[in-house]
Amino acid sequence: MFVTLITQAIRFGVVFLYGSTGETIVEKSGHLNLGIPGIMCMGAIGGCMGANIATKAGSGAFGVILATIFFAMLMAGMMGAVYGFFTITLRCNQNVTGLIITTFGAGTLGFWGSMMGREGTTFFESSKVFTAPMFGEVGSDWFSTIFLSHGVLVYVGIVIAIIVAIVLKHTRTGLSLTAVGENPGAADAAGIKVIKYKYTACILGAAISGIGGAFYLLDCTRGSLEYVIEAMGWLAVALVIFSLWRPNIGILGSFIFGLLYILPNYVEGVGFAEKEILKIVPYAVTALVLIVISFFNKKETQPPAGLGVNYFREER
Amino acid sequence: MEFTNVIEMVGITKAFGSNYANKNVNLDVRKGEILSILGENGSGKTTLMNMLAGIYFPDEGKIFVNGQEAIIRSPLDAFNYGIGMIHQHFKLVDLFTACDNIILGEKHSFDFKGAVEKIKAENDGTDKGKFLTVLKYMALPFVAGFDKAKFNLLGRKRAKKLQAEVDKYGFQLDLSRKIYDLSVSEKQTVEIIKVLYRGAEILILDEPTAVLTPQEIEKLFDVLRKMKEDGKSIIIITHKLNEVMAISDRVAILRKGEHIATVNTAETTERELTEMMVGSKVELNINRSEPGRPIPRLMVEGLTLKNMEGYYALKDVTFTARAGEIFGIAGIAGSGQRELLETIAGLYRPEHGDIYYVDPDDDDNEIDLKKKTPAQIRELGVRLSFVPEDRLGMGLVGNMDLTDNVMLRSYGKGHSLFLDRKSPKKVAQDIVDELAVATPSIKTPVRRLSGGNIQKVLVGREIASAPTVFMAAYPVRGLDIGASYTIYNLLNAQKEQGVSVIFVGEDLDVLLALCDRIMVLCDGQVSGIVDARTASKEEIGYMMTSLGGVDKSQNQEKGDENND
Repeated sequence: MFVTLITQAIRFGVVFLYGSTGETIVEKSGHLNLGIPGIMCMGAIGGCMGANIATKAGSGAFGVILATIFFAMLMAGMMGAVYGFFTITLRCNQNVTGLIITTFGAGTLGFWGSMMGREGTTFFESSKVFTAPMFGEVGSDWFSTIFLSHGVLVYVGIVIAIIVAIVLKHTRTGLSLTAVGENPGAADAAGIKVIKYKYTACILGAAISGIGGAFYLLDCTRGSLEYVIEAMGWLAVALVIFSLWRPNIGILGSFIFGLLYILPNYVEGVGFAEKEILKIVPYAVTALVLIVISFFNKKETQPPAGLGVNYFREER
Repeated sequence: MEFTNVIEMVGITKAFGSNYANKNVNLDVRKGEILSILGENGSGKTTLMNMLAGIYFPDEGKIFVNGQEAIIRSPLDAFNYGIGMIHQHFKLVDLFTACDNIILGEKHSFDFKGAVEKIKAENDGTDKGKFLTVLKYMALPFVAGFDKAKFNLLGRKRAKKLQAEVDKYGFQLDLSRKIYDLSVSEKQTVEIIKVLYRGAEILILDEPTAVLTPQEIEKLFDVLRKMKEDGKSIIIITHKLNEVMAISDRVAILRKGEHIATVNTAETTERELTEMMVGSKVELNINRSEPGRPIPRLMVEGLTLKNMEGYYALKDVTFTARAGEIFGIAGIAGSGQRELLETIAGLYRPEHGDIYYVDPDDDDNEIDLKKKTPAQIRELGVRLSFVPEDRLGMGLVGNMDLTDNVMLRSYGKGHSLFLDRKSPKKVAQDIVDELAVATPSIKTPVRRLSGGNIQKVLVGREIASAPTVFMAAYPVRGLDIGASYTIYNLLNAQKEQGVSVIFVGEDLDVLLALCDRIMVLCDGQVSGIVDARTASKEEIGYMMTSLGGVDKSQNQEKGDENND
């Protein structure tokens, strides 16, 4: 029972991990993308379509996975590019743009889902590739169950988070990106191509988040038509704050969020209302983290200083 | 003597909307000289230099670097031409260490040509050699990729490695410290190292002395002279005429965006420069009248204040400001000036100490200001006009027009349901007329005005309310001479009307010429109160850096030795 709980926590947590890793990249460039929930929805559509196309074409497991990741990243990356065009080139308000994208993405997913339902298309077949344990059948001891029994995308998500964490902390690329988010004027004066970095971050971040949406539909729900990705997207945005803009902390944070997210389903002997209240806990925890880090008042734990402010070099 | 021009700017024009910031400017910079650029606020000095640094792109005109036409579209282009600018507001990332700021944006390209040459040279013509050559060519992209990846990785010991290089220049700075821990002059050092490290041959410094103490300015000038000896060309933007005379070889004067003249410093005088700069003869003397009836107006005793981080921002500050005198406060930026004024204005609660206000409307009774709210203190006539570094940060709302900004002080007074716009409108018009604020109309958002005009509005609004104690912090910050003197005259006029003026300033010459008494703050403590008519600049300078200024010369020298 306990082992199942932890295993499921990791599995659901990875949805948040994808979202928060992507959002961290975007926020590091100084753009607060509240469109992440919608982008994850679009990624889910892309991923599912990619998976079904590859499955129908009769390709093997590897091909299906590649097609899924590619199409999820493509759809989500396109939304990221739209967000980037509005906020970087046109310098629109970031919050408004993000919320529009969330509304658009969630609406599109709902529409697409009901179309699929009417057509009778399911993703159960293609999802088998993702739910199958990556390391084959493993023993039933607690270690194997918790760490080795997951589908391939769980490990991909964790690896991406680790890579992003290393790039951000230990490379010049990460240093430049952080500078762009902290003080775009300084980055520009240092000869960094600010606009290029911002666009890359917006598109790449969105693309990574998009895999999370596809992962949720194809792995967590086993291809069933359960379209509640938007709520998970908001938790992913909250996880960015929880992880203090560090994807490596985000890995741990995502497991905690995953645990809190599925906990209500495993608690026995409580009524419906209590379960619903339990679902609020992740948000409460994020609020708590905000309070705690405000006590320390350390500059390193603050959001990027340029977050939410659009950059224009010739600003007077 | 023959001079080589490293930079020539020909017919440069730049407009923002309908305003010309630069109009047909011609300027040349010689190799190995220090060129001062002098001009009033809004005369287009910074704009002109920003075009060299790649922040702005000129509308018309050409720039030649070393005789070649240069198109500078971004700061990166400027770097490639060897131009580095140290901006007035430092372009540093607070969160990074000094080292990371210096290496930020550094470019690295793989030397393909060199690699190809090397492969060719190693080819000995035999079959084996030819085969190896082909292999080497094929491996070249991977070698290049590996090289790039290796460069991209940040070593853990990068600060130490760089430290060794920086120490060679003779700068004293620990590169592993974070920028937010550094003092203003240390930040400036980081900026200078940064440009030098990136291989700049032409350095532009935008008002580098504005925030430094006299001693720090001397150190900076030494650095600049040393760089000049190395053959680097330096352009320095400043308002301060004495610095122009002290450091520069030539002076270029700009007025209203146009280039007036470039003269050799040795062949000119401060007065001549001022006339060229302002366009007419100006009175440089401040008329300091004897204080009228100097009765105590504001008494501060043993004021102690802890700031948000829990450090003492003020420690046991005691002074009395009298009516009809200008009481100056000197000190290095951040020595507690702001906290002191804001505590008097009622924005902070002090830990200990008393603030008494002698109310002239109430038979000179003493009123304890600690028990009053900020609004009540303002009602009593204790007015604060604080000009922060970014000018718009306190007191004015950038997006509102002049009338609305005046109304911020008076909207609470009305008794009807609707706002009374008529009287604030009149006050706003008066401020514009009396202080010669350059604005299209009083309906223009304050944000659109130039810095000096914003400050006139800020100061004018508080004066319009007929205060009894007028606290002006940095009212001339970044203003040109003409506008500064308008403000000084305003303060003098207030003084003659019996107002107790508290003036926080940066320029010691002005403090000495304007004030009656000067209190020097050092690290939140009173370093001393001197008579402005007898005190010297050096004396105050030492009091700013060490408490009481005791054993000043010896301490100072010792400190210098230790640094070396």
